[in-house]
Amino acid sequence: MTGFITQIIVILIMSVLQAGSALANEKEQQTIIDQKIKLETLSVVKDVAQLVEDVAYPEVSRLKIYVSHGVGKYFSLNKATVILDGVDKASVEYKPVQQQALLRGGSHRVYIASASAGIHELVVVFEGSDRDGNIIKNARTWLIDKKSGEMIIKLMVEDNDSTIRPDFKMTIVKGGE
Amino acid sequence: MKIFFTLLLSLWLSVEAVADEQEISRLLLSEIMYYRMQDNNFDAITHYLNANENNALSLNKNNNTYIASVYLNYDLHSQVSSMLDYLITNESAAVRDMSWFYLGKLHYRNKRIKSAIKAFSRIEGTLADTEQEMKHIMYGVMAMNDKKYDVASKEFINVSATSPLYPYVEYNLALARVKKDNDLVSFSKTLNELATKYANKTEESYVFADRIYTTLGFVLLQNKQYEQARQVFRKVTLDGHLVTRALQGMIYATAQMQQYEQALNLSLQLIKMTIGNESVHHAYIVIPYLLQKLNDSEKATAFYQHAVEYFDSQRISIKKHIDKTKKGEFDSYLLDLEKILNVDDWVGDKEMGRLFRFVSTLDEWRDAVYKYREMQYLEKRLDESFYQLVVIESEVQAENQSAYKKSFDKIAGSKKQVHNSLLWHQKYARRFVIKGLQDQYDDVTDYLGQARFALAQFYDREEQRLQQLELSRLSEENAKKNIDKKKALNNKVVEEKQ
Repeated sequence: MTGFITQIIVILIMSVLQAGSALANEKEQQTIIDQKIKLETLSVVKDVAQLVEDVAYPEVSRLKIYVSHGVGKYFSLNKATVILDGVDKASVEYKPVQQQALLRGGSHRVYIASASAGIHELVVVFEGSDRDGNIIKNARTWLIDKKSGEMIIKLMVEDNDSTIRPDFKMTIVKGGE
Repeated sequence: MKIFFTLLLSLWLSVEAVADEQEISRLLLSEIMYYRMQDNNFDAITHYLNANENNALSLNKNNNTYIASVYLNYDLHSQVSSMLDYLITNESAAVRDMSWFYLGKLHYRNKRIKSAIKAFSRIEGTLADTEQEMKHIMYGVMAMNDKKYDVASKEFINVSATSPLYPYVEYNLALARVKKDNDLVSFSKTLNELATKYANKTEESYVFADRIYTTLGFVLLQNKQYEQARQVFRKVTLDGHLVTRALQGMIYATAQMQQYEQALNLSLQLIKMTIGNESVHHAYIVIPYLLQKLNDSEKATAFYQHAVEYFDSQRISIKKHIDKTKKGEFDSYLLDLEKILNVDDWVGDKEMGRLFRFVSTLDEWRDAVYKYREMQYLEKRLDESFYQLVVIESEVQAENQSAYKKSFDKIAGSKKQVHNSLLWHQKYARRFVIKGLQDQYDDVTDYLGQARFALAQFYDREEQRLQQLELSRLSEENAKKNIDKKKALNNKVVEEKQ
């Protein structure tokens, strides 16, 4: 009788252990599936973004504008507004987490559009605060000569130690003059 | 003329540099960084994939390590191996070691212990101080879980006193030593020192000190140092989460010192504090026992009955919540991390809040909810892509028609897979909650059994006592009768003699 009970207990313990290991295996399998799903989704979203960019903003006329930031000793960017040929095109407000990402070396694409070849007036209004917390609004104007093909512009907020103020610079990374 | 010069000057100023491919690569990498630094790994990776596909990203040692870290942070460790292979064959030992360290840390965080150890074992040199200390702590904790206390001690010793995690390391070191040597005296001495060192500094150190005092109190109880244990338990903060446990320890110490009245008052205080807590369950069994010790049988009987009713109602309530959880009625709460972590705020259902408080401590549940929300995010991103396609429909030219149609099919396929995974994680999370509730149900059933058994024993003892009383009453009556008979007999004898 005792042997029979021991046998039942052993069977019960074994089934519990097997259930535990089955659960772990099931989870391990799902982890592999999840990784595959994530990669596929990333790939689909990337493909669609690329397709949308190609269709909506063909390379021949594409204009991209990025914003970068220096260490931010004298200025912290809260908002950037892009005005192209006198028309408000984009306005981006930066939350603290995004400000930090810019200050730590990140660049953000503030604007993408189709623009014809030729000279355009680009006005960017930089709004932010200085190191004393005072609100500063600074508008800068550039004339850009867009050629045929993609044009990439980088706007840079830099610290100027000699004036103890920020400098707002523009660099053409690709296309145009 | 003035306008012409202004135009010329502006044009000259704007042409600061026409950059080469390297500059484009730097810009694209900084765009990836922009998303990564916001912990938005999804967009960081899509931007990387896009740039890489267009051969616009020149990958070197630093870039490769950075991209690998983005993949690791998004828990796509399978993708990192090729990047690590690159680093292993092409880069310095220091870069290689850091790569293994981050991979190991990721596995450790996701409780893939074997994989974590495997990755850490690939580190050949000495890491930077912070990483080296983190590695020792992770190894120590893994060894503790594995009951290898000697190994754990050796790891913890290597952590410097300046580390912000040092208090926990010291505590765990003491714990590892007592588990190994069973030297309770030196353990209690160390705990006392730690509590004195860390108490009353910050809110966090209060919590830490409470934990130390509670552990120390129970060590002293084990050593039968009841008065000292009571003194230590008194130091636990009243609004801390260990207060009921400390009170339970105090009750035990006080009862052991035969101060039953005081122990009873503490127990009555404890059951007023909360319900459904392990220490409170215990108090429901202890109170009638103490009443018996104080010879108050009437109140003891009443309280035993009250305890049986209390445990019975607890069981019914837990059972009801198990059934509702199985039906998915609580999913809106159980799959929301913020809600579950603020479980006390659950509107209108304190009972539910109390029963589900344990959930936030379940690692498996947290993991499942995290994955569930990850899948929800993927669903959202696929929906966004779908609407982006709808918006550009009229502009799609013939050369893009095929890619356009394929994208819809791919979105539909991915959405189906994502949804299946989402349901899997929902079910998985629910399973752990049900298990946790079932454990509570089993505990309460045990207590109910104990209460019923104690009540039955109490009745037996009472019956025996009454029987004995009855017996002694009967024997007294008999004795009286005998005396009376004897008296009557004596009187009869006297009468007869006369």
